[in-house]
Amino acid sequence: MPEPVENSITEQDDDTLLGDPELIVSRMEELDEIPGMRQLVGQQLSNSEVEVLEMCARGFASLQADTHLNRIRL
Amino acid sequence: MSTETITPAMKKAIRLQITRTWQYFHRNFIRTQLPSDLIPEVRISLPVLHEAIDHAFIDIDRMAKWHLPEHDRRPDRHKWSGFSAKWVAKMRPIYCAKPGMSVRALPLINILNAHFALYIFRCFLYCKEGVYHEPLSKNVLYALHYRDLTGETLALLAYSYETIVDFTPLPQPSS
Repeated sequence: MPEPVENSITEQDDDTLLGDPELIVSRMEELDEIPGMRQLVGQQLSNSEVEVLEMCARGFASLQADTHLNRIRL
Repeated sequence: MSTETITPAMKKAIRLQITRTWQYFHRNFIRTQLPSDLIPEVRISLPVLHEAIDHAFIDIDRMAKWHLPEHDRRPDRHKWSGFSAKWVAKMRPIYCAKPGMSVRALPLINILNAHFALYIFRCFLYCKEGVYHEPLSKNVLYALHYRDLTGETLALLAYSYETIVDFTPLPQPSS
């Protein structure tokens, strides 16, 4: 009989961190200075929302580093 | 089933991301690639752009509710990339304000929308600096311009875009 496999997927408890200012500020410090996005920090943000901000900041930085895009032609 | 997978703060962040990607695209592509007489005439319709983003929100929300696991319905960056690019390519918010635009300029303006959609596709992805996939970019651009791919298909391409590190095209067959 096979060993029972423990379910390794756990519930995300992001919303327990809702509005934690220290968490948000520490993570937002990694972001670029983005007008508008910084204003969002003043709001009560969940961890999921901060992750979206991080995604945007990291993605944009990656886009800026991608110098070949304007050479692409059909 | 949860009622909302995309919160107002997330929507605001995505709108800002796409808006600044337009600014970046204008600065880095339009101003460097287009004939100088055409540059001032290239505009973006913000209502059309906002409509495209709203369609992406609806589309991605529907996908998340029905197809992502119940314990975590957060769309990842590949989904944002694929769905946003799909709708910008479909809605084509960039246009030329010049009356009597020349025949030469028409296809150029048309293809600009696909290039912008490629920037949108790219602006959510993390790629190592110096590791770029020009052949894949070209094929994504082609798909955005000529094909009607789903958000899910483009999300898969987005995942590939990040993960194909050693992209070596096959040698061309000798004629």
